[in-house]
Amino acid sequence: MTDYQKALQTLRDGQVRFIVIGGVAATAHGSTQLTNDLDVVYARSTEDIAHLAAALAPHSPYLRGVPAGLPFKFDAPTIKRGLNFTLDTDFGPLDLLGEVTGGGGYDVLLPHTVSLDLFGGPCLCVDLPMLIRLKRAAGRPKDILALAELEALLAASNE
Amino acid sequence: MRDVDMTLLRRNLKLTPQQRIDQLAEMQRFAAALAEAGRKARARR
Repeated sequence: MTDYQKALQTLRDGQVRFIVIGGVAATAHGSTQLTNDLDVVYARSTEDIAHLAAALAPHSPYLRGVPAGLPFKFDAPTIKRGLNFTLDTDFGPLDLLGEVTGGGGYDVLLPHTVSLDLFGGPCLCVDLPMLIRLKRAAGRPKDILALAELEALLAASNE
Repeated sequence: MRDVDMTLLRRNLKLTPQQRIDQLAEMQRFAAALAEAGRKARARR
């Protein structure tokens, strides 16, 4: 499981621009569903990519589910060549998404975020209407299951 | 909303986002402990 405090502080201290999406965003909005990893959309300017590579370098980032020993290095050229990375780190699973189905990249998602105070600092999290849109677009069985609860949360927050 | 336990959601909505994340981490630790207990029980059989 992910150490959320360490993960978020690592990204924040490294000046990585990121938006929390997925199950942790759902939890932050009040969902009761259990999730096991942290999904974030990260900004992809040259400077952002350099910050991301430097921030994660001390935390042994490696492709999740891939045999050990492959010549994988999570550095700026790798991030630039790739887009979405499912990683294991020394603070647990971390999914880094350059783009997300139904939501696009960081700049497109940015107007649909709320700033939450998490672990002693601000943290951008996708807002509830956009989270519902992302879940619907993803369309996996677990996303469909989560939708009813998220829509109930949206209705309750508008009461 | 049908099939959604609104009592749990309303309780969660009274918490801060930080408290909700802390609660998630606690649930994960509990789930991991249950899984480990299950593994040990199967190994004893």
